[in-house]
Amino acid sequence: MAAPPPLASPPSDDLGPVYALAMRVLSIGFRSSAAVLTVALALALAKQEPLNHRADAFAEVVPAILDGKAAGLIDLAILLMLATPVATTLGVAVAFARAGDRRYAALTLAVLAILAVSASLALFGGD
Amino acid sequence: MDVLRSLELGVVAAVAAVLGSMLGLGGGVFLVPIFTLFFGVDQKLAIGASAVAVVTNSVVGSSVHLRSRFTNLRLAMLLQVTTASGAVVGALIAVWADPRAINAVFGIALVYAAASMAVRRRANAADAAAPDPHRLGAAFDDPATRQTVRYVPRRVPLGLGISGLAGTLSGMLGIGGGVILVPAMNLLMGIPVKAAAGTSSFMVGITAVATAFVFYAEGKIDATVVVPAMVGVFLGGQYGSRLTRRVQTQNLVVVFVLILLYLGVSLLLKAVGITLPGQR
Repeated sequence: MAAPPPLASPPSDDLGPVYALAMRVLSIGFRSSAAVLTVALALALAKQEPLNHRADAFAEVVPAILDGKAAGLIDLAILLMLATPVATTLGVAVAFARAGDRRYAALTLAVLAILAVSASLALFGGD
Repeated sequence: MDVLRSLELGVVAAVAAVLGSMLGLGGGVFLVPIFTLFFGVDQKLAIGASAVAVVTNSVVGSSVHLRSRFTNLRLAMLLQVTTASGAVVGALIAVWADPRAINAVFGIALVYAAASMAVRRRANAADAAAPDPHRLGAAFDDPATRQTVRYVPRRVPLGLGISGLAGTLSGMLGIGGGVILVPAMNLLMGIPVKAAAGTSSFMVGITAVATAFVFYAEGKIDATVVVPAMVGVFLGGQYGSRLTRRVQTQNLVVVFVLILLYLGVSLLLKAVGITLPGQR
């Protein structure tokens, strides 16, 4: 049987830095969220603290953490996870701009603007 | 903390993520119906938890697709404009809609997913020499064939419209939308399956964030449901990615189609007030 043909060289274009930045931001975001969640669950088990049935409003998350509540850390872990795709989108916009791709930098900023509308509902729309 | 219930929810989320990985879906199509039908989780809380789980799955899985260049970032950002807009609108509808209406829409979406999976066709070979006015053409190395695959997406305006629909359903139902995006990109836009799945995997995370923020604002994020879902999806997604390389997923499609049909019909019946035995 003939050997498979050698793998072709990776496609080359000018988007390498865009992909690299997206991967880096995703990795940092996931690791941060996972680390905070692990600490929070360990703290909840140690203190026998029940999990919240309703996430704290943004303004209440930091005071809850400063009070040593595991629930505050769990909210932070969830928010870090939710922030990761947003930060990745921002990073992709910056990387497109640096690569001189204005059209896709602008489109990516439009996506960020839509996410900002959604986030502002979370920040200011809650009761 | 009800440890047993959390463990059960986590196991369900892990199994959903394994199944989702093997089928190229986010797993959200399984999470919401199972949480609501079998665990009695409030529908809105289940949707919020599913949205966070879909983000987790996307964050974990996207790096692999980005490294392989299966993800087409230009295409993802273009389609994401309508997808994310649709998700915000869909989530606002979901927060205020009658749960029976949500059950009906979800039931129809699941039956559609089952049907599209059952009759999944292959797109014509991508035309790498087609005009590319939007500079959306891309290429990736396919490890299965050891060849470089080049393609130029077709019918971009149609893709934008379908992405908007996928986003709206995603926002309403807490699913990623991959069940609509992947076949649409492959069959209608002529994008190779691996590129469609990789691009969709990246997109659904952003779409689900738009949904999750709205549910967070409305107090529909319940840590007792979300945390097991996040942990389960993370572990299941990792295992599913490895399992996919060893298992012939075509052999499992019939089983998954039957599961989706069962869940879809259950939700349609629940929408008209009929609950099947063993469900809540």
